[in-house]
Amino acid sequence: MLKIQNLSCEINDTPVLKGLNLNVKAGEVHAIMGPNGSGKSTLASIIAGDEKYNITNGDLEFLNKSIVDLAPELRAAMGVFLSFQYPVEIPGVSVSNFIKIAVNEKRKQNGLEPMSSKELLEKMRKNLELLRMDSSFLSRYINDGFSGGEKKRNEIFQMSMLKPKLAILDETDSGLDIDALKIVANGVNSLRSSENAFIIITHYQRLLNYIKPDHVHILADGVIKKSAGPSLALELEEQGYEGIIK
Amino acid sequence: MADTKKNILQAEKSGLKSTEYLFSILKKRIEKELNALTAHNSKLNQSRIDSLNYVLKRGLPNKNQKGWGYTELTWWLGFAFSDNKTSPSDSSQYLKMLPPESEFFILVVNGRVHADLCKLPNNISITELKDLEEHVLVDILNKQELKTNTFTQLNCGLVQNGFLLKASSIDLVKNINILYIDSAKKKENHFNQIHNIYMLGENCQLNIVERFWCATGTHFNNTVSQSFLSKGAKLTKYTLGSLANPNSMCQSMHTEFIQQKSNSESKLYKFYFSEGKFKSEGTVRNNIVVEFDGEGSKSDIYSISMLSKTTHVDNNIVINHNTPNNISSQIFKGVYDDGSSGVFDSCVVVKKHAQKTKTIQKNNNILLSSKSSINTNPQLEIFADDVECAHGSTIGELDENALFYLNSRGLSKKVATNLLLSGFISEVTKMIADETVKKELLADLNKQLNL
Repeated sequence: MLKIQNLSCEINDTPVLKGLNLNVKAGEVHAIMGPNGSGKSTLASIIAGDEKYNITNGDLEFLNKSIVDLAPELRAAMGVFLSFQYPVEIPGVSVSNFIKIAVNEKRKQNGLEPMSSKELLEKMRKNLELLRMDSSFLSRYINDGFSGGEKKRNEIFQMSMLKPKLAILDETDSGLDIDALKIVANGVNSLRSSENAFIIITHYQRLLNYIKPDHVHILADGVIKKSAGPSLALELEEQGYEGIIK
Repeated sequence: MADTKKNILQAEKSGLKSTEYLFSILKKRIEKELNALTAHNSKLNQSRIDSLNYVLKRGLPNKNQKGWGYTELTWWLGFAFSDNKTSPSDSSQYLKMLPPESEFFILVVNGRVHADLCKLPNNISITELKDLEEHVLVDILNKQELKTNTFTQLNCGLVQNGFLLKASSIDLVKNINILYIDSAKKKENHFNQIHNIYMLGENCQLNIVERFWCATGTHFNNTVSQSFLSKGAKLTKYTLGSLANPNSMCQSMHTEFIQQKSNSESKLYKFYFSEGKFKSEGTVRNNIVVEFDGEGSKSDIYSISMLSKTTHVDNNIVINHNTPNNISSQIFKGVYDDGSSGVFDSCVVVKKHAQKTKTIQKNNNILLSSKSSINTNPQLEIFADDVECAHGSTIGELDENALFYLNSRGLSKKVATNLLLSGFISEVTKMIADETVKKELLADLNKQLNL
């Protein structure tokens, strides 16, 4: 589904990723861990299409198509979704209006008719319930005055509405208490299928107790230093990055 | 017409400033008027003579004058100042421009009130200026606040048209729709002075929805409105458009005076768009003056400018807290694209005895193009010591992180930009209490935003 080959990029002339390779197949969950400043969030942003980064080498393929030159909204239409580490606050725009536009823009790109307001509302209600969120949430402005936990739940709520093929969760667990973490993990698990894939960026093994990964990668200094099964996360917890990267 | 064009080009070549040239033309016109006025001695004529003499003495404002640094009178006004041609047309056709549910309305075409085409509720009366008793009109034209501005004095000196609207009972309130039309066609030049007075009796309420529309000729409209709010009165006024469209040769000048007695409330909403039915494409200058003369009163002014092309909207505001315990607020939002520009020049004056004054003065702007500009100057002059005053301006571009956030959810650059802008102006749009106006406005807004 996602094939990253020898990818290098820089921001303001500072190299961040330095020849990174990653292969994600449909139905898989990949966890990416790594020390601060190793390039995890950059990788997430680059897959989603953030134009702040300058790709200097390598290729990024999604569904067998190079997406390096594709605008972020077109990647979203193809099924890429990024749950932001720091979701942006947008005062004056309600969650429900935003979701309505986002869902229908995606449908338009894929040649589908807009979803009826009734169907949309039903879907929103169902997904809110799944994430144990109050329906008053819909009329609030996007992330405006949200607590850290609410922002992260809002990301997962949007994901549940947009049903992406590839979802990248960038530190969705940071700032969540244990109960919220379970709810969010539950939301993610309910979306898992053989058709879609997840990349989960996290610092902690804890989230991986609830969302079981197929592969765990350690990203350091702009490249994947080590890849293995779920046990790698446990090893990390014990030894820290220094012990493993060496 | 051809002569005027030749004269303009000549004047421009000879190094004359536009204001000097325009003043030379205006002067001729005023002198002619003065001759006619001096022939008949009356209090009204004397008042007009005084006003016109003020204009002759002061001249037209130029860029070096305080409050006029960023708005220029264009050469093309020479057309409007020199001759005034109007071809007759069927005025009733314009009523179709009002929303179908408009129950009460007043039609003003080329400055003239069409009394036969007005419809008003029983508790509101309209009198044209020409039908007012002389001493009433003289009193109004001689109000002190009109005497410090060239354009209001020009208006007081030349005005023939306008009306006095009186709200005198406290019955159910409905919107009074006032439609201002300037029918100047191509090659026609209009120079209109309109002067309206709103008198609100004790505890009376008046809701006005003003819409301005004009054809393609050259014109200069100089409107003055004076509102007098008695104790407990409430005035709400929505203004859509400006009589400065649809070509850049047009300018309009709107001056609004509001005087508030105790426990009164005024709400002004001013909307300037470059697209839609009541669009502005020329140069607009707004002067708003609010005088608090009692206690426990409130004044709110909201405005949105969403401009493109070379449209220019200049908001010049003075709020005088003359007395204690009053609250005022200004929220002005500006979005500027292409070569459009704006001015926010506002001063809240809190006099020495005006304790417990509360005021907020806010101007937020987004520049969408490198050629657009905004000059903003929120000022406070405080002479009392127990007050709550806040003021601030922001100028920025769209937040790139927010744009990427929306793009990553599948919204194109355009849709994302428009959604962010609709959020940006929502601080004003959510304050529109009237549902009909809100609907009309949001529909018009969406034309700017392409949502």
